[in-house]
Amino acid sequence: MRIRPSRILAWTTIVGGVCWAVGVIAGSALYGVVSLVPRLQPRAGAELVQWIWFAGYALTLGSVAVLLADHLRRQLLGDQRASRER
Amino acid sequence: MDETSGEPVDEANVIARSRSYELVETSDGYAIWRAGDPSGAPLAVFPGDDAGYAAADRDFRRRNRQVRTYVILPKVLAAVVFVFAPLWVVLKMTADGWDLFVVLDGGSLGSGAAYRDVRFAEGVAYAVWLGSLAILLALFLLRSVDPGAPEGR
Repeated sequence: MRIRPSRILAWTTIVGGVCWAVGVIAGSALYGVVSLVPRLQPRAGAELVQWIWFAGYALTLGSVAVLLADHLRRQLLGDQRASRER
Repeated sequence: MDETSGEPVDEANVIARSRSYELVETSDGYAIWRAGDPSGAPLAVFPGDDAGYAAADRDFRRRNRQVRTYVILPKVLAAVVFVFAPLWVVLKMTADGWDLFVVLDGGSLGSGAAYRDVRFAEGVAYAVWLGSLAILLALFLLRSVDPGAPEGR
């Protein structure tokens, strides 16, 4: 079975989006907990959540950028090809 | 400019040639053909006088400019995004992971020159792919409103 790059990119976008959402929710929850209980210092946990957040963001944005670039390239070249065929 | 069927291109009459088009002198004047398609109808024909030649030359240059703008440039920009966007993802994950390990390790890893280099490379990769994608998007939008954009629209 041939795996198409667009399918891989779609999956990395989904995985990145989920990581991003989880990171944002967990980060916000952590921030709330730390605000309520000031003596807690969840430094490592906060960094881990932040890493998941940023990794998800980067994965989503990077995948969408590649997908969009491929789509625009196909549109521009496809228009040319169609006009030639006409 | 008149779009009529013309005679096959005689190799000796080709005045100028690019990867996409040929400017040819015919018995009726000047014509522009698609490169490598000598039996097809010309894309445009022009009178055989000086004004006709000037118009044909202008049209030939315009068509080649369009090919550069709407065919070659999108390919290059898309290739840049294909390379730099994944590179940015990897560099960002590395730099952010570095931050995480610095915290987990109690700060002994430090954030030296290598860390700064990764952060700098990440910033450059981000700017490159975002800029390329922005230009690609601008080209796409320009293509839809460009009245002189590729023939046959």
